[in-house]
Amino acid sequence: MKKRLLIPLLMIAVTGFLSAAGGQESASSEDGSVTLDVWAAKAAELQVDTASLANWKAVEEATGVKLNWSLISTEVKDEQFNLVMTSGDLPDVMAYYEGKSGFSSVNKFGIEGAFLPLEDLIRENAPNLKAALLDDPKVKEAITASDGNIYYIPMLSALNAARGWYIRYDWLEAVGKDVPTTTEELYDVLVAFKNEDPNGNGEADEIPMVFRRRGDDAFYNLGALAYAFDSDPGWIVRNGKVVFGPSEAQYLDYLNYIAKLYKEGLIDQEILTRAGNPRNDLFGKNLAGTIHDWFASTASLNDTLGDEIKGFNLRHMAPPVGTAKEPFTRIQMSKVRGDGGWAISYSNDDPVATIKMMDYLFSAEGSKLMNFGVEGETYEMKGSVPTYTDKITNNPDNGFHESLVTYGMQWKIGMQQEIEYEKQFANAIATAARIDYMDNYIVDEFPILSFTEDEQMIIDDKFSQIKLYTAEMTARAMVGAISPSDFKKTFDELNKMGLKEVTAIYQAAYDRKY
Amino acid sequence: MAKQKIKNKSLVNHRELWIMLIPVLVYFILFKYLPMGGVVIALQRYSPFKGISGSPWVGLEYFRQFFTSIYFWRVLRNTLMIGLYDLVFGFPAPIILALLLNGLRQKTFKKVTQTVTLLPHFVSYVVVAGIALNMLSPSTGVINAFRVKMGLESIYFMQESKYFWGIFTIIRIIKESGFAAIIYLAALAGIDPTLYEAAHCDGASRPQQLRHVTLPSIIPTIVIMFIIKVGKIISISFEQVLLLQNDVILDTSEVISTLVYRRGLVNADYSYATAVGLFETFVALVLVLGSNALARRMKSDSSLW
Repeated sequence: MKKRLLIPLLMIAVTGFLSAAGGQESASSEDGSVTLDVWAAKAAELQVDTASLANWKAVEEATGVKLNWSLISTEVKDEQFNLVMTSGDLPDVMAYYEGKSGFSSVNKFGIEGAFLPLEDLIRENAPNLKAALLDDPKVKEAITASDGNIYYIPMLSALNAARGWYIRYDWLEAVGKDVPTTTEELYDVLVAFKNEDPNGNGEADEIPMVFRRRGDDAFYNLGALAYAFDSDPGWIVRNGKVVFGPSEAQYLDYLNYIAKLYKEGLIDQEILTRAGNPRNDLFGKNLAGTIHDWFASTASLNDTLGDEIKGFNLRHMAPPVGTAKEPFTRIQMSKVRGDGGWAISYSNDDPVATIKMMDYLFSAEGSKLMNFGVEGETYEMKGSVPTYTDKITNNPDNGFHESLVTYGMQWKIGMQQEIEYEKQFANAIATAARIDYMDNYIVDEFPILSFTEDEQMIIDDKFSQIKLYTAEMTARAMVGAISPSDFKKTFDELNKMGLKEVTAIYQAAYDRKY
Repeated sequence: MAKQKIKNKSLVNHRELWIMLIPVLVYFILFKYLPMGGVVIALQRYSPFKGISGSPWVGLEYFRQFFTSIYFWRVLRNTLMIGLYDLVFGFPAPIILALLLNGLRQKTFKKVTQTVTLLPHFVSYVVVAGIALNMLSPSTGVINAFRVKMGLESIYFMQESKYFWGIFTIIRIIKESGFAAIIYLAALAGIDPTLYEAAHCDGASRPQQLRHVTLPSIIPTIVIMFIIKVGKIISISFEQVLLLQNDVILDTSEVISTLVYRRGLVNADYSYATAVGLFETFVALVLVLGSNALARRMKSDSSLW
């Protein structure tokens, strides 16, 4: 009740303010050039002289659009954004994101009329944006608001690798084993980790394999072992046929394997109940040997623990292979970064010039300005590869990323991060892992399907039960509460719960799309 | 005119009381009665963007889904059993605690004890659940460390379905007894001391005083608290269970409210969650009316209405 009242009130307030504030923005001068006020966030400790940014000058020359930046400290950006929104005095362009929840506020205020819907503007004026955002269904889906409109141009990442396997190379050396490539080799390594005291404290306290769960999903990371057996914890497509992974025979291979590891104490025995962050906790105590987790944050353990634990060397390894033909993973992330992008305000007088400027940043030329800056200053061409100069890689005042920002690059705006940037960026262990996974192991994930309302109703009813039942039985099989062969009965149970009907719905939705 | 004056007398004479009533009324109207209109979404396929007026009607579809779900009997049994455990063990706990505190002569000790037993109430369930999981851990928990010292085997408590109801009830008792005891302590403080003096003169020992003076005096409070408690046994708040739950022990730990959480909040299936919530409320209403009728039959002056 309360909410239903609040939204119209807010809308009246926002649009009221907007009409009052309109007209004083985006001054077009007589030579046709346009000046736009831009609101963006920047780390407080970085000194940026917006008047002397060579790459943005180049953007101005190429597009005729001059940007008048107000850079807000990231520490206060949230309250500043809310203040700007309630004052109604919106700048022409706003680059606002909210950490974890990304652009939800921009979308919310967009729906209420504070930001322009961009899809038609893009189709008519911006070929590069159209190719990067609208023609890629995954990107388009990710940035579309609940009312079907697009309200912001996102920052796109070059890498789609998200999570993968890491193992202690120093422990491998201690037990005299090579990096495991098969599930059998992995088993041998884990047994050696458990019995041969690789942390050298004289106690058999090693936990060879640890995982983090996500919320109550215990198989968020552990489930990656299913790929070793050509199985999957979720939906997959086999020769155009949609199948639910846990209903296939090879799911039992995966269950047998994790049940064996669990029984012999090779998987963390308390995986289902461990509170906090078991990864940082157990690696920090020098107890853990291998993990499947996010690339960047896991690789950074080398930096944080390297001084404390002698020889600490945590590196990525290929997904292990069991009965699958080759190593692979379906885990990946969207190219859309949740922490960068910009939106065009309702009061912007020249949306066409604005979108054209934004489009330029996605052209080859503009993208280079955003990633590498100006040739001869912040980068040089080595062969065909733009390479950062000492101003970036060896700057006495700032680190690598900070230097880029002070020179006007890699701002949290709508742009495309290039792979060469990632390759030259600092944490080499994480980048090497991500590129290796991207080049060699990541296969297509199950597509995002859209269902009719009636289909959705059946999915909500039946599939939510199937999913819960599968998770429960998988967990019980792993800890030995039921034997994996008992799990076969689950197949019948799943069919009773309407798996066939749900599969048919997924198949129909898949066929509509492809 | 004269009649009018008399009528308004209570309003004038007790206007502070009437004014103090206003916030309570506003609270109940705003947060309890107005939202009741929202239960109609249980009969709709509700979408927040279409609103109540724009969402299509589906009749009793969501009730059918709930009652025919393979989980229906399981969640109903778990909810009622956890509620029953709470009633049988959790309900007497604060009464016993209050009686014990009341019997203490040493003032400082009494105050310290009361504060210590009260404090857990103000600790968030997230923290309490974290502490409990740590204490029950097979590798690092104190309870298993103690068992191992005693020469017993260490038990992975949170991975065996049979322990869940007991663990959950014990945690609730430790956390809430101190707070619930306050109301009994207040009732105990209200007992006329001359009753004790008379009993003492008649030669009643302390256990006899407890039986014949103390308990009869607080019976009305106990009955009312019991009726309120019975109404709540079915509504176990989801986070208390969810924080202790894991996939292996779902067969004893999945309750109605966690099911509502999964479907309603995680899957954004508002209508289904509303339908199940409505069912939960209906059962609670039946339980309250039943226990009230029972109380009225037993002792007419201590029922709620």
